[in-house]
Amino acid sequence: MFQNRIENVSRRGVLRGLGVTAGLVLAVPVMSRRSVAAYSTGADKMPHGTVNDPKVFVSIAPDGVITIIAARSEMGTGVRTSLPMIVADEMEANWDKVKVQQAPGDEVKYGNQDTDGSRSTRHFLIPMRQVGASARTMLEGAAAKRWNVPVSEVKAANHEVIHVGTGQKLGYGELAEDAALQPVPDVATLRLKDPKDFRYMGKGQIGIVDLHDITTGKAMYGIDTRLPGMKYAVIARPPVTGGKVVSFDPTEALKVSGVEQVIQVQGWPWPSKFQPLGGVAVIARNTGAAIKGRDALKIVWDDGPNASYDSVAYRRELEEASRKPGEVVRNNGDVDTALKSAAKVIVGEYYLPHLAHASMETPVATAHVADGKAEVWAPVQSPQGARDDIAKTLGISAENVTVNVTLLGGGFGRKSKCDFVLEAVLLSKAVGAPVKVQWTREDDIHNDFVHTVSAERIEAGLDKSGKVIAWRHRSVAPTIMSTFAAGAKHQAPFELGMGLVDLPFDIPNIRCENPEAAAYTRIGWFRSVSNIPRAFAVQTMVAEIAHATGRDQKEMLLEIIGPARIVDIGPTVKDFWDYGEPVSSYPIDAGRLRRVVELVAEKGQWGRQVPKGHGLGIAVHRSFVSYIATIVEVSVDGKGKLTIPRVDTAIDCGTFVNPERIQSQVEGAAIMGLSLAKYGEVTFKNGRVVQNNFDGFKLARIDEGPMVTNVHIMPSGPDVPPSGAGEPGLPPFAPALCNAIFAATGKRIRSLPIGKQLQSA
Amino acid sequence: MKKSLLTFGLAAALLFSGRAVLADDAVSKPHIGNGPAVEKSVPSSAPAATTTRTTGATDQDKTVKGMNSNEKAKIEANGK
Repeated sequence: MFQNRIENVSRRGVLRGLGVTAGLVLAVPVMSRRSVAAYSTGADKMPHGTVNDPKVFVSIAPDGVITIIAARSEMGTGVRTSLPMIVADEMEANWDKVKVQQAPGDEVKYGNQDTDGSRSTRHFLIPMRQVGASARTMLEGAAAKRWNVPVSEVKAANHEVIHVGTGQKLGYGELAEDAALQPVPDVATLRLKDPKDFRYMGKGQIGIVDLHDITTGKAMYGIDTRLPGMKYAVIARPPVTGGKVVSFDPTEALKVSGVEQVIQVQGWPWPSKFQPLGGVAVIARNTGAAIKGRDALKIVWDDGPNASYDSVAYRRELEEASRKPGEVVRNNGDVDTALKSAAKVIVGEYYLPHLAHASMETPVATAHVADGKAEVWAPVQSPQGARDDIAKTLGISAENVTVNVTLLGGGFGRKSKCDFVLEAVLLSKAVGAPVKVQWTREDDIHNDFVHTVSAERIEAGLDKSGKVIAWRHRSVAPTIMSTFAAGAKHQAPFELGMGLVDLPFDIPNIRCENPEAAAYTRIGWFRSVSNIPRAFAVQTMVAEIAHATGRDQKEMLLEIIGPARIVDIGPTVKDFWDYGEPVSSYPIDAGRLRRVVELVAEKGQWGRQVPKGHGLGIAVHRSFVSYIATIVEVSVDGKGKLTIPRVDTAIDCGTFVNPERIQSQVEGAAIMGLSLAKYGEVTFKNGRVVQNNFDGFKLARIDEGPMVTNVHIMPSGPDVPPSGAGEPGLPPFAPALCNAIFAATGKRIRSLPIGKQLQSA
Repeated sequence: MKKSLLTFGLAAALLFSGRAVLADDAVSKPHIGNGPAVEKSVPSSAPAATTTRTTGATDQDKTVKGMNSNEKAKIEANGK
């Protein structure tokens, strides 16, 4: 029985809807119109840009129920509530009469759907407002026509249109059919609502649309998909990146009850974008049988060129590289001379390991390939990307591929890579039936696109007064580009722009270098990406300088940030990447950085007395064009056990839509940040990942979480462009925590995870 | 009273015997879900990757090569 209850908008669904739904869903050509906003964003430089056509996103049924399409993937950020909420607010709809439907992958129709980079609100706030305003205008136009009065005499409010002069009212359901006949207004003529009249935006009063289903266990994730006649598959993948199958013996696997077939899965030599790693698939009548069948396989592997990858040895290589000059990626002033003349030089070496995404729902996809067409149900962050890759892999047109997006049980960047979807597609084609490919936790940990490993080395030169006059930061880490280009050894501009070359400090001599680093496994983007190691290194270093000079951490931080100003990083940074946004709209603003420090210090009572064994740490970071500062209070007992009584975070993400979701993301980032700082580490031995499951790749348990997490959102005017909220909470957490640990114990943490380092404190 | 105690005792015995069977079963298959029980690796035909030797294959399938270069260009333009 088909049990996928996520309300996806498949082509068939829309066609069916045409027959029963009067209103704004009509067989209209897709209209893609450029947005007009008070500020510019990088939205229209993204593949397929933005779409603001109300006929694409809104339909109204005769009973007044409005269906709004959410084109972005829901993985816990609340995006499929927030974007429709913007539309509803602008069109004066009552939220209790709004239904949200998930769009399939179709960027020509909906605009860019890559749900990553903390971009959804900042790229779609204005287009979604325009969708809502257009729909409202069409409803008003229809009412005016019905009453034969000038449109200036009617006004939409509370899900109906009112004739101001007579008080007559028509509900949206009554007007739907006529409204659909109205021309879509020119975007330049649209009257957007005054922000003071917003009913939902900025209020935080609307719960997420999936809340009831999630909390009652009814929510349908990718893992819950069932299709008639579906087969279940697990795959034994090469244990070493770049490895391949030499031979396999399926005899014992085929004896397992429920196992139907054993098939070799095609893989390509690494790097191969998001293509499957290859391996041997066991097809069965249920997942358990498939897993047991896989356990019974006998496989001979060729481990390929990465068979000797050892992360302990590689750490030494990275650290050595960080002690030698590397490619200069930013250069202001004369660092060498300034360091030589400095009264004091402080050197900090920091190490951060590979990390696994470990989303609670492991990768999973269900595919049905038949008659030259493919249909997929999967928790993907990039449905159009998956669609394109499926088409290319099968050699069919993208028009013949449907990607239905389920809820994602976590993503963190892992589900932007569609290798698990391609596995399902290839197996469905081979088997001739729908196939669900299920990754186990072990598969997830062993075959992830791991977060990069990095060594960060900072030398700070101080003058006699303790002022920082020189800063040299070498960052050595395998690049994500190695997943697409053999031999890529330098970080790409987008990685360098995450906390390295965009350093917002008021220091006359700054040099950033990027020595070479080879990749020996698949590297992928992970929530906050390179901001994690950079924030850890930079913010720990600031605390080290404060300690060395007898200064307060916060005062040191404000001094080194310098006065409120727009930061000029100078002409030596090539292809500066400002999170894909125009610097004119999103400059590096030291004033905003200072203000989140000051806000968190005020709200978090920086400097307050704490009990013995407790300490306070602070860190600030700009990422995804947002500004965020965190104070952590930690308690460390005599055995090195740490607890976190309180966390305070201040975030400035510009104009915001859903403060309740921002709070949720920052709270979640504190828990994730704690997990990663305390335990997060993927290590390699003989090319193989050492950890298997959550016993090895641990996550913080509920009793370890911060007892109180306070989130303070910086108010901003409507003209301040929106910026990211999903990822920025993570980078400052670990350095704030480790700075607090130093304050509590005198033990400086320079290498993550913290692990057992405190047991000798 | 005696009857209910007897029922309780029988139920407990069944429960514990059932648990024992499940526990034995789990012990007998400690590696369930960990992948193939028998895996071997043969010496690789590929030279070992080093910091100076290019890692990864350059002789890709044409389609995959195109996908790689398209993604590289996309990421260079848009970031992650």
